[in-house]
Amino acid sequence: MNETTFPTMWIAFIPLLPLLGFLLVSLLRRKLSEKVLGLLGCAGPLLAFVVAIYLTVSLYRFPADSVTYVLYSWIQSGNLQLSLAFTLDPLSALLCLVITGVGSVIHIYSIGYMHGDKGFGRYFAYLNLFTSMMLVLVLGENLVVMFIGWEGVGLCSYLLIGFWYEDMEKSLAAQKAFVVNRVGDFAFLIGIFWAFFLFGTLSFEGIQQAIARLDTFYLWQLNAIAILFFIGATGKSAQIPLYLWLPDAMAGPTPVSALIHAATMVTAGVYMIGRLSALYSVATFASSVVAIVGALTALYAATMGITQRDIKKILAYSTISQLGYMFLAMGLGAYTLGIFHLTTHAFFKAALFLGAGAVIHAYVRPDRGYPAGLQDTYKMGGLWRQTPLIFFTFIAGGFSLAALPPFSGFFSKDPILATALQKAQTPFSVEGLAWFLGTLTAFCTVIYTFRLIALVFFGQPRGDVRVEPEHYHASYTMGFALVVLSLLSLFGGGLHHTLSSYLQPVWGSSHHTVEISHSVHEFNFFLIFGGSVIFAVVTFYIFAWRFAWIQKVVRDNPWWWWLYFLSYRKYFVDEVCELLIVKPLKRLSAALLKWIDFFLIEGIVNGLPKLFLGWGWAMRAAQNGRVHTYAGLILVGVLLGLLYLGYTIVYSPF
Amino acid sequence: MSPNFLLYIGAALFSIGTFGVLSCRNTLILLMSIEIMLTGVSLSLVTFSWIWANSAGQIFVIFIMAVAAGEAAIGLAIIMAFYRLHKSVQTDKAELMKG
Repeated sequence: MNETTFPTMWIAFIPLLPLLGFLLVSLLRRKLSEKVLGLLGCAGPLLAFVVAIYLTVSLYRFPADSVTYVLYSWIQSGNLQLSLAFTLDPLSALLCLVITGVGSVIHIYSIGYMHGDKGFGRYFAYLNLFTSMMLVLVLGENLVVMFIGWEGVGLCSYLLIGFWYEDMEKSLAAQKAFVVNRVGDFAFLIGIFWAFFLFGTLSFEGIQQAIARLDTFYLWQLNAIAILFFIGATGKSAQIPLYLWLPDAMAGPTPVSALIHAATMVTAGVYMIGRLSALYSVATFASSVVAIVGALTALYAATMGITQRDIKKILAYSTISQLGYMFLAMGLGAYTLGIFHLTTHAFFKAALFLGAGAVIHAYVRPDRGYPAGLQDTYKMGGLWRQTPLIFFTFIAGGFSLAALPPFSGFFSKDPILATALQKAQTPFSVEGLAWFLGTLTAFCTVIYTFRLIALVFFGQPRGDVRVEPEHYHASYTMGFALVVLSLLSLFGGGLHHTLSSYLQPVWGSSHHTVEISHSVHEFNFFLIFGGSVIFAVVTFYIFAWRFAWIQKVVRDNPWWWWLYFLSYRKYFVDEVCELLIVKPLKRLSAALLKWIDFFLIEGIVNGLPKLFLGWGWAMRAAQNGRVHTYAGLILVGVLLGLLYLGYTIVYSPF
Repeated sequence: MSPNFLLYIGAALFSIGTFGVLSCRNTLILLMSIEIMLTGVSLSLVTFSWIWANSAGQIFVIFIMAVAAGEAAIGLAIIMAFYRLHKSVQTDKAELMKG
């Protein structure tokens, strides 16, 4: 294959096909039946997936590492040369495959999950728009095109969290997600401005070349830009301190949580760091910040996940925690590992979320035929006999999340921690700290995963809501999606070596593969594997068969109880934020509303018409409709004019 | 006959016409008063033309006469229409545009 035969034009079709689906579904959603809408909604992502496979294969055979397709030149102003262009390289190709592949499966699942919802068409329209925007984010050739996608997915996230907008709580959750994301996006935008100021270009390739030429004097600016971008990433990818919105985002439909808040959108920050690896590998201070914040978030979120009751909240905290791992890897410069964990996480977390959705669907109100909306794991239990398919797929996802060996999570998480340990010079270095926190997190992950599995699938049924296996089995689309994703989370680990060689050209010289010595690898493996197995068995035993006992122990011991309460109430961060940030902001807004809006702006806006009204009222006397008055006024005017003329002639200096 | 005397007559005619326009309510008389005003102006123009020995003023007057004829024709037509509408030619009936 040579340059002329690469199907560059097809790159644009990857985001365009879901966009076309969005347009068709949103325009025809009132005209067409649910079945047709579902097919139409799935067609866009599926076709995009086919195109993505075709392009990935073409790129693999192609001599060049990346291919850019310029749709048109967008902005040309002075130094600023922006074009609406898409770049396909191994990194974006991989992300495209994940987004369209996992996305298509989730679309198919949604046909069953959203069956009978009155917003069926609207749902698929939003979901298609989201897929398109996510692909724009991934394929963007420069920071601004990426930012379009970045904001677009934020918008779709807002729309889908508040999908059932009649519920006030869900609307507020959507607002919270949007507002918190704005904070991060603001920093991201400043980062873009600064990057343009420093590099004079916004395309990723140009930035890479500019950094290579840059003097070390500018290092602090590189760090500042990298940290600004990372603040943007903490918003989108739910890291400390902007993680608060993600647990609330579970208000949306469960497939949305799987697609947006687990598999794709929240990983945008990780992808961004991978895309800007040239920047982050030079800005070592910023990279350390990324690693430490990632490790802290991983542990912090995992400790909160241990005590949650809501099945989706547990998975939400687990997502935050796993994203922390990805940032840890990115911060340590192990870009391949971070992206690999992103991929496997997309598989197993989507499987878990879709499994959770199927569990929620399986609990049906006895009198009526639709899901009871039961999400409290304390009211579930003993489900595995009734819904074996959900159970086995959930187990595949759960074992993968807990990083137990044959499952994909192990192959992506274990090397991250081994790399951290290998790189750690002293126990208190960034790498050492990251390894320590990451290892603790691994144990926490095992605990909440097995607690979740035990609570939902084992023990005695504790709730008053009946399980309807028929209801669940009725939707083949959901079953299909569960099987596909669980197979992916089972075998996804095999991609490891393929990916690391495939992605190598993306990082170029900025990536140094760390040779992990045999002893480090073994120590790390046996410590984590051994600890995980012990914790898994103990947790499983307690929550499957001694659930009443553990509840009693925690309730009776004040220390345990306080720890439990602190973790269950999320360390009161929401309340503190409410007190320190939200309340003063609300008060400031009220003051601004009163003085700026009502007094100043309303005063001007209402005052001007009043002024003219009064003036008109005064002048109205002249407009009495009598010809004589007008004639007299004309006469007076002419006389005054003449007088002025005569005056100027008489006293003229000339 | 001095030019000054003619200018005084022109000013007097103009003033009489103006007074007529402002004081009378009958539209016909209004029209006539306007004609008187035009006459006054024309007389002044002719006089100035004499004083400065410049024929432009006299040409101007011919134009004014042509325009006045047209104006009288249109004015009378308007008055006819006005009369059909209001059964009167008094100006205070014309108050449709009153603000």
